[in-house]
Amino acid sequence: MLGSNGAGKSSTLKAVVGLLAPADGAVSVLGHDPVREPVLTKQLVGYVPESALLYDALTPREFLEFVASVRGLDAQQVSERAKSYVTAFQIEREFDQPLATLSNGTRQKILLIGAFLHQPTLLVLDEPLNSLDPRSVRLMRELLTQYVAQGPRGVLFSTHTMEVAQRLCHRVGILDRGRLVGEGTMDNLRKQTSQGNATLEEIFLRLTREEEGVYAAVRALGGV
Amino acid sequence: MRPSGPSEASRAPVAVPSAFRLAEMAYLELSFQAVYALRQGNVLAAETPKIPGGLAAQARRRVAQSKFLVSLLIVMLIGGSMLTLTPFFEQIFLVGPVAVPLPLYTGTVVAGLLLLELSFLWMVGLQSLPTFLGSQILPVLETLPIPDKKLDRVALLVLFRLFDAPAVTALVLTPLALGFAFHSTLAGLLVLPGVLIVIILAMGLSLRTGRFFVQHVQGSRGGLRESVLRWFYLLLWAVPAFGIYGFVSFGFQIIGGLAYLSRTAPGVLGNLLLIFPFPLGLMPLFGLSGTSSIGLLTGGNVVTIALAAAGYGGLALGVARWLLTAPRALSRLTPEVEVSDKPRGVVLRPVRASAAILLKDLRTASRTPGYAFVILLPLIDAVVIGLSSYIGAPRPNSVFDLAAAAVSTTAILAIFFGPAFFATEVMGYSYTRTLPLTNRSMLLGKSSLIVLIYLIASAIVVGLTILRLLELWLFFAFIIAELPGLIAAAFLEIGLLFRRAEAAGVPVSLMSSGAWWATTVVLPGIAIAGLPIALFAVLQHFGISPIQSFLAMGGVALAELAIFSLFALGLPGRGRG
Repeated sequence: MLGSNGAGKSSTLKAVVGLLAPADGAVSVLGHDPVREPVLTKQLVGYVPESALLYDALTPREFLEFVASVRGLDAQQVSERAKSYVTAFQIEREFDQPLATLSNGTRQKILLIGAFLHQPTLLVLDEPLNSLDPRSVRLMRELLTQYVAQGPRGVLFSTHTMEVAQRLCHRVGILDRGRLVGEGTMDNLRKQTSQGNATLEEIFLRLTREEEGVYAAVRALGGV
Repeated sequence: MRPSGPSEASRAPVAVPSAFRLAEMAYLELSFQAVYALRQGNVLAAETPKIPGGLAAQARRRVAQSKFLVSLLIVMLIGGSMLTLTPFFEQIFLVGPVAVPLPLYTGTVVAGLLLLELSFLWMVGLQSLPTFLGSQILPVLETLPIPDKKLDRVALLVLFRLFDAPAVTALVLTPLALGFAFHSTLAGLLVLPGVLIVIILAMGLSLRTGRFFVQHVQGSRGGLRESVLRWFYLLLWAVPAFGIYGFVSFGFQIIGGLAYLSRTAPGVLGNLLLIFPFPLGLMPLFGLSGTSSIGLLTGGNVVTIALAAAGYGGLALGVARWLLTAPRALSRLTPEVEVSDKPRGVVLRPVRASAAILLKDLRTASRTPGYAFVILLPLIDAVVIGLSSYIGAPRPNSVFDLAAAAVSTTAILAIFFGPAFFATEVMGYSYTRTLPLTNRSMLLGKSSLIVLIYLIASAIVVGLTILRLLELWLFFAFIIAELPGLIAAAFLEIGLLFRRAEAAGVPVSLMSSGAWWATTVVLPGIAIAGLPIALFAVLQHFGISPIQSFLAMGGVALAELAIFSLFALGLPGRGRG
């Protein structure tokens, strides 16, 4: 899901996970209504919010134990899974430090692990690569590809990094001021904009009618 | 070639707003964060009016309401002290088993009031500090081109705004009330330096202890040993509360003891007593004449009192100077983190969802002194009243009454603070709302905390009185008979919070931030928890046998539980909290 700042990406994702009720229309997640069947929907979804807002007084171990408890996960299975991710993200040393004392990147990793813990059918990630170091960005890209390949699962995520979206996503949705102005595979979007070899960035700027606006803004700033 | 750029006029230094103006802006942001907690992940409901001025005004109003309630407690402390200066109480001490000289009595009451104000303001400061630090306002100002001195002043002003209402209440009402009680304007005015010193020392103590906790508690690692150590430190956090309880509970005994000491050790010990804690309390006596002042204010005593009072003044001056820079320094302080070279391995131990809520709250409280205090206060109450049975209940028969009183007040306090346990949810609650957590699990988890506090407090009282309780089973019967009533009250409070949150379309964590909301939820809770206890007291008064009284008490409590279980467990919109 792509969109300018304030286009409605995060609000859409919050509606998908049941944090916000839609002002108009309806949301259906894997056939369930997050407003009418919140618990059922939340069992199927793993979510990483835009900001790593967590219980700061807890340690990663305590936080993940809380998530695993609420999700009713098996101790042995969840421990093995958590260990794999903790090792992959290289945060063993920080595992017993309060979250308040950790960097934004490490907190983001904890949130990602929390979302993967129950191996949900749908992962909803709001700008998941923010704050991550290059190694972790690469790791996440590989993990997401592998995750989708392993089963009937989906990942819905928002990003500002066109290159990541173009490389990873089977389908791209482009939001502009609360409206979906384009949606489909790269080929669909190229056809929609009549641009045969366009990059996702060019398609995005064309669909949101921002291309000329960018140059105008640069010209205006040149005089400052 | 001369580079093109902005004119000289546009580069003129911009005037930095005054420290007061900056502090007001910072304080408004702090109020906003304290009420809406958007930085902690809360979201505003779709129906919330998005007019920034309106939201800010609402935040300001809610914080003002909270400060008003806190100030009311100061008014009650002052009012209580004034009562003890009425002829009725004076007579009790003047003609008691060990007669207290009138000047010593009045001096003790005033000194006691000052100590209570110190403890109370210290406690208020400690409770406010997490809000002050968590709002992260000062770090934002640090990035702006504001002179260091002005930033120091802004930090001090913002900190002071947190407990300005109770401080100003103490500063204005104490001299007025004492002047009225002594029928002397001068006597009232002479207590003013004492109150001022108390306010400064309370601010200093708040910051000093707050600093200790930021460094040693907030960054503490996970693990059982570390948790035990943290709770031990948090007990220190509750020292001012302990002081208030102790002084209020044992006030009569303290005065009686001092009277005895004034007779038996008039020399060195007497002088020591003049140094602590009485010099500030004795100051108003200089404005009096007649029997109220004679006796103590003679010769060497006057010199001792004057020197000790000057010492306290000097100390306050030093603290005031330290306070000029300390709040800003505190805002930049980071927790000391112990990094382990030997990780403990990744083994997670999930529990039931309701137990996870309880565990999370206890873990959060163990690193958040403000929340720990809410848990510790009912326990402190149990310790103080349990201990008072040794002084206030010389006959074993009355031990039961005091033990029952200890357990009853603990139950009421636990219920009183019930909605406050939702404040812990503000942190990270937007994330928790994306987990498949039912309202029922939340209800059971939060109620478990209230029940846990009650049971631990009961165990403390049993431990303190076990050797003196004639019939232990009576006490156990009382504890068990009240338990369903307590759970019913917890269910009612939490059920009300959920229903109101549902109706208002806001997260339940926001429900605990409005003082009036809390009051309308807490009062019915207290009534339900108190009803079985009141029934027991009435039946005992009319001479009904203990067994019949316990049966009636337990019956009412069980009926309450049945009714409010239906109310709470049938919560609408499960999982939407």
